[in-house]
Formats: sequence, structure tokens, C-alpha cells
Amino acid sequence: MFYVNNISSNFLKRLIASSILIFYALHTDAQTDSTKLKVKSTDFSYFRVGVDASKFIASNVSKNYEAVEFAIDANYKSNLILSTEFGFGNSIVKNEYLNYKSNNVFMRLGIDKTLFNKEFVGDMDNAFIGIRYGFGLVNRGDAEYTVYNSIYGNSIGQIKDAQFLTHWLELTGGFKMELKKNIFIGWNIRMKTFINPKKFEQLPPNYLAGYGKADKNTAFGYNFYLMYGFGNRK
Amino acid sequence: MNNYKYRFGIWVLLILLFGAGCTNKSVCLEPQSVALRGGFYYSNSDTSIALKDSFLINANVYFGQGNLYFNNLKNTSKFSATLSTTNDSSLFIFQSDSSDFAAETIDTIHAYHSNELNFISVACGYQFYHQINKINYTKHIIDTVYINYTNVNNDVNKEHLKIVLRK
Repeated sequence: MFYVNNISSNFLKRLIASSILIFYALHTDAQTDSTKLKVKSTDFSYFRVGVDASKFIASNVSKNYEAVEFAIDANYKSNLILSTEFGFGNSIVKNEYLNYKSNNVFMRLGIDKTLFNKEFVGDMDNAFIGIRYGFGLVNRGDAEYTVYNSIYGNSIGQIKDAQFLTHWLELTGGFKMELKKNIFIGWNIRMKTFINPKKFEQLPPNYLAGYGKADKNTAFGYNFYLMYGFGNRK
Repeated sequence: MNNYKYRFGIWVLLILLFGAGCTNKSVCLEPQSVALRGGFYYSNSDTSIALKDSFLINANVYFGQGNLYFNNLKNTSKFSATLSTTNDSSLFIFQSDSSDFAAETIDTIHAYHSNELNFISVACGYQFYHQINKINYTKHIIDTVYINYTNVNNDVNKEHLKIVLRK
């Protein structure tokens, strides 16, 4: 267990260090852009709202969980995107040893930096990297367990339900492209780590909406958003 | 829209859709039970507890519900057996010679213990850890039983009981 916690701790340190570097890069780059181009940009110019289509597909394919995710983002300055993602989901653990259900709501807040310059006025296709802070409220129902013992007999018991708040950090990168005017698709991949992993040392949800496999201190995920945009395209 | 961006997006879409269809099935590879481990010894002196391994030629240790299970110990001084997960005591019957059923060649060891649930994983569920609180035993062949480690868990390097035999 110490070894796992140590890995998680090292990963968390690297994540925080990477985040600081990204913020530094964002800060210096934004300063350079404003001096070079001398463009008077509005703080919030263009907005997008969307839904994660991949979760619809995954929820239908998987027998163990359902999840719905939405996203709202806003272009901030010339190369930053402020992003909010939220959603809910439920999952079930049902095997010969355990049987319990859980559900959760979550929200992620963060910022993305676009990587490419605009090729024409109103060009909205771009790749990005970003960071997120995620938090979720988790409800786990009563859990039934069976401990098999052929020598002394099986033990069957129940563990009472629980509610808890969980936090995590993410590094993300992806792409958004405009299929038709104001209609976007966007994908991203994410690397996530719990800030409070001890919450899931026992009976973690099979799937935590917004995070993924909750029995892993470090998880990887992806989204595929369909989005509608509106606002000033400059 | 730029063509390269469009192609890039479509390829990624296909990969993500493929990924969405994959399920990561958890498989339990860890045993649900932990074992109590014991060793047989002779005492080297009457005054100290300096012990010397006692290789048993052909002994049996009976355990389990109704003592239906046994470990046959041939040319070994070590044994392992599971503790009860449904009661707070477990009975072991030590038969020093598997071919001899005379009462004076047989001892009983009663281990009193607490059972504590330990979560393994979503795939494996729970297992029971134990804490040995007290040992009672008869003294036909056995001289003394020491509790060496009280916690019975996944640590396979711990010997929980040291059973000293009469010479």
C-alpha cells in the first residue's frame, strides 16, 4: 500500500510541477501575443455548449455504468479557453464477491491553451492542452459481500451505504474543429489523479462519472464532444 | 476548413469510438483467505527459549469445520492452516505420528482470535484478517506454544505460532 501511495504522491508532485509550468507558459505567451499583435480583444468572445457523445455510446455498450457529460467553454483573450464540464452517472458492481450500486454528480473547472495560430479570421479549429480541477459527490448504496471459505463456511454480510466528496486533478489535451458554422466536434484525452485517494480504499464505484475507474489512483479517460458555438468569432 | 485537420479529426473519432466499445473486465487473482503459519521446535535448554527446528517424520495437523481437513507434515517443521471466519476460535489437532491414534500422542491447540474484514479489490471483494488473542493447548507432546505474531494477514513471511515439543 505504501508503494502505491508513494507512486501516487510522486505522480501528484509531477502533475503539480507540470501545471505550474503550463500556467507559466500561458502567462508569458499571453503577454507576448498582446504586445506583438496589439489586438484589443474582449475578455469573453465566443462560447460553446456541448455534450459528450462517447459517454452515450459507452453507457449503452457497458452493462456496468451509465454516464452523461456536458461541457461549456468560453474563448478568453486570444489563446485561452475557460472550460466547465459537468455531469452525472451511476454504476454497479455485481460479481460473486460484491454487490453494490453507486451514483455521483461531478464538475470540472479548468483552462485550456490553444496551440496553433488562427489561419484566417474566425478560424476556430485548434488543438489545446489544459488542466482541470474536478470534484464529485458520490453516493454508494448498501454493499453485500461474500467471503468464500470452503474449510469453515462462507461469510455473507452487508456494509452500510456512504456518501462522500472526492477531488481530483487532470491534465488534458485534444482538438476542437468546426464541422459547419458554429457546429463543433471536439475530442480530448485526460490523465487524472485523486487528491483524496483514501476515500476509495474500500468499495470504490465501478465507474465514477467524470473520473473513470475509481479503484485506480491514476486514471486515463477521453471525451468526444458535440458542441454548438455562439458569440463574437474575432 | 483545412483538409488535414478534418482527416485528423476523423481518425481520432474512429479511434475513440473503438475505445468506447472496449470494456476492461476485472479478474480476481488474489486468494480470499489468509493462513496461520506455525513451526515446531525443540527447546535447547530448560532455562531459555532458544529453539531448534523440529523436523517431524510423519505428523498430521487437523483443522477446519469438524476437523475434516489436515496437513500431513513429512520431514518438515512448518505448517499453515486457515482460521475460522465464522467463529472467534479455531481448533487444531496435532497428531505427532500419523499412524498412532493413542491419546497421549495427540494434542489440541485452541486459538482464540478476532476476525476483521479487509478489502482486497472490486474484483476480489473482501477477505478476513485475524488477530490471535489467546492460545489454549494440551500438553501430551507439546511443551509450550508461543504466539510469535498476533496478526494473521497477507504477510507470508511471518510465523505466528512457535510450538515447542517435549524431547
